[in-house]
Amino acid sequence: MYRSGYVLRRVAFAVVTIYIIATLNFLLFRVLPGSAVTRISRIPNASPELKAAVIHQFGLDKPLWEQYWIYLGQLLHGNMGISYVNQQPVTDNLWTAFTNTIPMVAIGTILALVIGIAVGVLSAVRRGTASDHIGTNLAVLFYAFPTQFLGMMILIFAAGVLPVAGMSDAFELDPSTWGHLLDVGKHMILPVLTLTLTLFAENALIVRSSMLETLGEDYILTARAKGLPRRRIIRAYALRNAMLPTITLIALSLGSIVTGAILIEIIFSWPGIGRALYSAVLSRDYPMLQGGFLVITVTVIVFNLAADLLYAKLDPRIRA
Amino acid sequence: MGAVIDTAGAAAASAGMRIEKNGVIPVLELDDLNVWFADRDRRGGETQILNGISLAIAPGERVGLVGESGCGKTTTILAAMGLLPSSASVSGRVLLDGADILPGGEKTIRSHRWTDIAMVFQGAMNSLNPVKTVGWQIAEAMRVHRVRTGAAADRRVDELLDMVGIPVARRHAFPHELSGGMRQRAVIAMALACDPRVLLADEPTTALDVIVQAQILRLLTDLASELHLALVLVTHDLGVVAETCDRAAVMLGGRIIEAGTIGELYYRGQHPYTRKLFASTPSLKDAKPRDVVAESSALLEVSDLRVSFPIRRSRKASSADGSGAARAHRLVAVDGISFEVARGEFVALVGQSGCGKTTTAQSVLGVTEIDSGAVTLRGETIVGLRRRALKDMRRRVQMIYQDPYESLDERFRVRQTLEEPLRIHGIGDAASRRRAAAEALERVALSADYLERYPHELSGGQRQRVSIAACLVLQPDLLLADEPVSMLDVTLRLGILELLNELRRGSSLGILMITHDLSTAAAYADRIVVMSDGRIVEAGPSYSVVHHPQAEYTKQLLAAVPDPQPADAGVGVDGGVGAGVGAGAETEAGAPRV
Repeated sequence: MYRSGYVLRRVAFAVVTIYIIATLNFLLFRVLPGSAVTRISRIPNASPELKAAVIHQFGLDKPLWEQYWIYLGQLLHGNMGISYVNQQPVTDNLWTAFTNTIPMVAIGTILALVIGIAVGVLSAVRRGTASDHIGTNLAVLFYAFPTQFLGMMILIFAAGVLPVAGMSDAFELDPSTWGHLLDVGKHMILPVLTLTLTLFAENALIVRSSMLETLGEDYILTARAKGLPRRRIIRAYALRNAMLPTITLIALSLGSIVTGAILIEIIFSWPGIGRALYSAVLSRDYPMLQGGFLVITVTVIVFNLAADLLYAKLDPRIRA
Repeated sequence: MGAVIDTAGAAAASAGMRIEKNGVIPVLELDDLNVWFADRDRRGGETQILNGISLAIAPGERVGLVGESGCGKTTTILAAMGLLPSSASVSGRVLLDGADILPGGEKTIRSHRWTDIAMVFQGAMNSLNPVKTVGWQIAEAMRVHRVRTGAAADRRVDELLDMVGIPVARRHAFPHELSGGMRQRAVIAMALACDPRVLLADEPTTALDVIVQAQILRLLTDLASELHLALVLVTHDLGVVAETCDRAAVMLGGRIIEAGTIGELYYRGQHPYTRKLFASTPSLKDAKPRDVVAESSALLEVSDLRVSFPIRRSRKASSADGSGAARAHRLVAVDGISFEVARGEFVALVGQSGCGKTTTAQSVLGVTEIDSGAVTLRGETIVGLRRRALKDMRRRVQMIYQDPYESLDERFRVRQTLEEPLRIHGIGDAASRRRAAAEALERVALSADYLERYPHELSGGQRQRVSIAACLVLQPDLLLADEPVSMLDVTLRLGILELLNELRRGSSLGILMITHDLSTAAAYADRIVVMSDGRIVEAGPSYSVVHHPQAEYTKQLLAAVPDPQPADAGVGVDGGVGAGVGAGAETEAGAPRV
């Protein structure tokens, strides 16, 4: 299906980008003022010996380039260091955080995509009618809401009806598997709702304008002249072509969802990647931050790569 | 097919047979068709677009629907297929075999689309779905209408492609992999998929080069007689109609003002508009021996100009023509050409798209880097100037662009558009600039009232006059006109060309017009330079190039030019082009143009 060169070039490009990001990520934390040791040495009565011991323990006394090589080597082995705060491997911390974030973000994103595309297509096909006005105005309304404000409002209105904090009920001891899932699902409703509302709007507006442009193309008129049923024209002709530019835009926003989830996770006390990074910033937990940043950028790059490959699969003009 | 005829025939019987005066039953008949469009700004307001259109087409007949943009010709055929947008209201009847297909609405019309009436649209580039293969799209029509399915549909796709002259292997090609002419052939194949009896073609050749246009027109003519199709050809080009159709209807302001055979319209046109239309259409015969230009000193000299562009990787295009590989990934756009424009001379650079004529113009403007050769204006070199000198040189060479809708800034008043070049070059003060703008406007025959207008308040012809005036304010030595009239209506073209012709008379202004239209060039230019594949194949006085062409390519080009005079119709299509069809089709298949 693809010309082999295209895939290879895209993948190589992604790998190089990841390497550059890893390097920048390393340098960023070396040039920042204030080190982890400064913070630890604020412990009353910390002797210079203790400070030196801590510096030595973390390997911060080695020359920068040596630290860099160690960093890269460890990274290749999947080792992102030990968290300064809880002394656990960063990889484990991140893994726990990610597994908590992913179901919430994935459900929210998929819902936002489905609703967004549906609203966008409907508004475009029925341009100028009441359903277009309602759909478009709703989308603009939610697009304009800052996430934190929308989250707070939902939290206030739903408090008492649905759980508003955490991932599960801490007081329910030894629940059955189903009971636990049900509990998590209940906790998930509000964060997912907030995420869906903020994301669907953007998708709906992008899909609508892309659809409108496509509906004006000559091949749509030809398809109508061919006597094709309306549904087929919308699906195989309009939506199929309108999705091409949309995919890139949506993939870009998918990458940033992980970061966008920070606000939602903090509002709803969801123990995910966003909250983990937030608290890592507060406690200057460098290895944790470094690892988190790296994982997030890699996610963005992977989503973009996926979008590039998908785009090429859908658009025969790209496969060159 | 049989079933379709039976039901339609029964319906025709019940509606009462309608018989034309010559005894042939029309397959498609438009009867007093009126169309209104709802106004966008006025609620409830409507504008009438079509006014009492009646037209009958018999099987095997080829009818032209002629008119300028906005006359309602496209609306007519869209109405015939029920494809008008929902803001349109329609009255009148569209009779297929005597039965009105409109009253049943979308449902009944849809069953006739493609199976009875098929359509070929103007946008050869865009009327195919870019993400599906050509073969898939041809087969789709048959599948949806359940005319043929499975292997039978596959076989039919091959037959159709063969019929329109596309190699069968190309059925798996995507639209972007085909050249413009090939794409239009594919669209025609698609239109024939369900064996329609009426084919509506809306400007089917407008976007194509003249040689390809001749091939497509010939294909349509042949298919119409072979398949006994009723062909309606919508076009603004009288030459195309004269070469293709038996009869024509002239439209103006939503009405058919005159209809008849091509001969009747050409020789005995009753309506003044018909006569004006024919008079405005340039013909190769308009080229007359001219006096030698009085001032013969050279203004622009181009000698041994060579321009090439790097190509990204070796694509199909370069490997197909063999020479591409040897030239190490550079596309030679202009390959050592030399020509001159004298003071007060009108020279036309003629060639098909991709022949290098635009690149030549860009070199003369100094906006593209050249490989070798020299371009001089009054003996001073243009190439390789430093910024300040180049700016001064640019003042002396001004360009008129093809599309007057794109070339004017929508937010500038005409006065601003005309004064801006003076401001940029720091000429004069506010008062003198204002005077210069008014004078320039006068030279292009627009009154000073137009100074305060915005482009959207101007017609296409007026816009083009304003862009010419914007060149004139700088009092250039040379005007470069890149297809200056190809976006304009036929009757407006004459005015612009006359204006250009007038401007250079009695002044030292030289004009270099770039065009694909040999008949326009023949009618106005003193000399014609014919380009092909980056080289000049022939150059000389217009009269001798047109009447005594030397190069084979020029002969081919001349043969392909459609002529509005009906007597020549047969010669133009059957004589010269026949030989060109095979060769042309081969190069088209190989190299997609980008």
